[in-house]
Amino acid sequence: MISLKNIYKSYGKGEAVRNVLTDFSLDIAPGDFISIRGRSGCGKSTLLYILGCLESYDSGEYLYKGEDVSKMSEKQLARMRGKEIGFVFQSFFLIPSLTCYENIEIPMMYADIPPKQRKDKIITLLSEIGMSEYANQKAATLSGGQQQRVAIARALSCDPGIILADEPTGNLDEASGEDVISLFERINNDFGTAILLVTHDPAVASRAKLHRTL
Amino acid sequence: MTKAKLLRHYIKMNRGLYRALFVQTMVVFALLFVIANTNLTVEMQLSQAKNTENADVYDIMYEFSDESSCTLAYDSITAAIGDEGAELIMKSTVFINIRLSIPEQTSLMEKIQTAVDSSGVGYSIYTKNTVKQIEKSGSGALNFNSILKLLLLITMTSTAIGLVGVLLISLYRREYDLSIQYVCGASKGGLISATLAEYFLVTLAGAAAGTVLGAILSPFVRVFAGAGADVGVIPLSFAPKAGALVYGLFVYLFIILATAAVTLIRLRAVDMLDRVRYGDNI
Ligand SMILES: Nc1ncnc2c1ncn2[C@@H]1O[C@H](COP(=O)(O)OP(=O)(O)OP(=O)(O)O)[C@@H](O)[C@H]1O
Ligand SMILES: [Mg+2]
Repeated sequence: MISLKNIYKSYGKGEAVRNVLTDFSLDIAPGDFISIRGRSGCGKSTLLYILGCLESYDSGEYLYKGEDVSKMSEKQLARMRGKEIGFVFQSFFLIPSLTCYENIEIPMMYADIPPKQRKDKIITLLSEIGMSEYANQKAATLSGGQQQRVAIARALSCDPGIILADEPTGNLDEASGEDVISLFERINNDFGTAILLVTHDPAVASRAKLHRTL
Repeated sequence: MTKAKLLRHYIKMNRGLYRALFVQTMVVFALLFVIANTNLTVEMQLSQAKNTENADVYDIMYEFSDESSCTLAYDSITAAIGDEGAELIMKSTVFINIRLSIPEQTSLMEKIQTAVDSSGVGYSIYTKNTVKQIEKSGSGALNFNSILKLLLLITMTSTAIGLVGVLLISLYRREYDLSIQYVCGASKGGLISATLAEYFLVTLAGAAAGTVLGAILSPFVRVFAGAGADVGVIPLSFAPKAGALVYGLFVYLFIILATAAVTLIRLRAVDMLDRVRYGDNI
């Protein structure tokens, strides 16, 4: 589904140049559950942002379902971010002034999914993450674990092929972290959604099926 | 959640800022409308006189105490000069006055002067030159109008500066939300146009409210201005409504273009990923 070949990425220019990814390759098949580990600053987040069409790369090849991502227009890239890829961040990244329901709906709105279809899907997702009674609560007023679950529901709302999770349990206590990680397992098993999980926690990483160190 | 709903949500969220935006546009438009509708400047009349078909017109203005003496005077003048080119240009609704456009002929002027002297209604004639002199000496009405104009200038300048400030604050506040929407599948172009639509709506509402307010206020201001002027000296003109509209449109365009430019420059420059990765720290 995803093929990264010989990706190079650096920040800065001249003497201050910092090579973050050098000759990095990775293949992701549908249904894969991959953990990514590596010391701090080695480029794990950068890798996720490249995969998520948020960051450019200097050279190499990124194919998504056989299509060259570097040749996509701004519109196509937006569609990739909205429909094909689901993002989960360490700091949740919900729109604080919107309700849980509305936050989950945002990607569906940009993907032009008809409202009736959206409603059914959001209700299912909310019960899936065990947050049905929080539908109309503002995201800002939720606990960290709850926010992360809503963020996962949002990432799932357009049935993406892959979820990119950047230290999703990093800001959570153990119990909430467990909720989140078992939610990932369920998503991976039930929907066959591929998951790429960046984490510092060996216990969390061990839940993935494949492991990769950067 | 639809795009329209999202737009409403953000207008509601930014209501403090947008209220300022709304009020500022409203004040500018109310002032504009009032000025255009109570135009007491002699320049305006002069330029109108110059713009009449015959380039060599004398613009002659009369002030009367009531409508019947106005009619009487007009009749006696037209009787005196016959078909020699006198033309009634305007008849005021606020103050009874007539403006005649007459080809520049000494003989005609003499005839008119005779008619004026003999009719006994007690009015005075102002030619273009007299009007110019009045303009130079500066009267109550002229000053009043200059004050209005000065006020408009100050309001417009402060509005322009205020708008940029309001927009930048609202944009900075919004960048976090926008970057989330970007990650969720919005394109940068889409986000820019959605943001512009908001400003457009708010300023449009302000402009509409200001125009209505101006229309309501105009008659009062006109009477007030008239009371302050020396009615016997200053020829009063009429409401050039088309002019007000054009002027208003021009200002509105200016506001919209200025806001659009600021938004575009700012949003184009924002790196959405930076907002995701580093928040407000970069
Ligand atoms: N905008 C930038 N400009 C310059 N250098 C950058 C920029 N963004 C990231 N870097 C550098 O790129 C490297 C990789 O950063 P990245 O965030 O991908 O690391 P990471 O593996 O996710 O680390 P962590 O585990 O601490 O989250 C770091 O050395 C960082 O300093
Ligand atoms: Mg990181």
